[in-house]
Amino acid sequence: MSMHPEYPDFENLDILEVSCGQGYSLEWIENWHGPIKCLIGCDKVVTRNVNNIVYGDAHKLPFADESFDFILNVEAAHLYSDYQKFFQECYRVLRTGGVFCYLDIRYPRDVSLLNDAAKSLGFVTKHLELCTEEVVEGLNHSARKYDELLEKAPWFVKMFKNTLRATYCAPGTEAYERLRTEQKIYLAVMWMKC
Amino acid sequence: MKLFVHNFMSSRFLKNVTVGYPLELTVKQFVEKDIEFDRENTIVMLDKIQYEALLVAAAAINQSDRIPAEKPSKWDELSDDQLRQFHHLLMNIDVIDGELVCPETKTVFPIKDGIPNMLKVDAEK
Repeated sequence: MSMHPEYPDFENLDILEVSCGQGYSLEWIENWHGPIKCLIGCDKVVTRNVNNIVYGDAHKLPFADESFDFILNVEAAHLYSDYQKFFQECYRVLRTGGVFCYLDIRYPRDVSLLNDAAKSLGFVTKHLELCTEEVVEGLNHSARKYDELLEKAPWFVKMFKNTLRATYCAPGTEAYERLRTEQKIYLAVMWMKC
Repeated sequence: MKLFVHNFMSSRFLKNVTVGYPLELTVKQFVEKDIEFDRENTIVMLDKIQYEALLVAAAAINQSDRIPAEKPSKWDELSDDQLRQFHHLLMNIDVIDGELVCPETKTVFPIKDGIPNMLKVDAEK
């Protein structure tokens, strides 16, 4: 979010997070940058009615043209069947001057494909960085905390230690090693609809 | 679903829909909250909303009399009491149960437990 030109003052922006999950990131945005008047989340799986969440498909965003100033999508588009269709929808629902911030774990070869796809729609790349090293450092930090909790857990929880460690991308797991060795990279891009 | 969310929503993604806005709204159950009013924040919101859609939302909860039928020309010329009416509609009304309907195809999207379901497959069941 710090890539956004108006960071940290988001209170007057109409913000959409696509694939917002259960809304915890929306709550984080509200807590750290709020109060935000128009903060909406969209996901295909929703169980909590918080912060204006809508059941919706990223490939078919249920919003009017030129509705939002800021779209956020974090670690989700790599799971979509058609990221180009998703980018097209982001372009449609963004106002002119609006910003689409995209963060994801991708293969290095995907970076230029993603950027070219966005530019072909009319987006202008305002910021692009690979922050894999910082993310790995962050995973080291969070994994230490979770590993400590896991060590104190009952035996029937510890039985699933490997699976649990994979969920938080702990050192030694396949997902962690892919990032550490940069077989996969963490991409942060900000595109603007001009 | 707060009423201001209705102002953003569209069925444009449906096949053969050219505009899909504003969505028709039926409200079966709603709750009224008491979010703190702020004049400046309300004006900022009103500058961006589509008035036609707001009228649809107000009518859905039988509170059309709170706001004029014609969009005011300048929001900052309204009194606090007048702006409170708009604030009430946009921020204090939370729709729990209802339906959103595409104005072109009449596809129905349910609102259950406050969450609108705009997944087309579910809407066609």
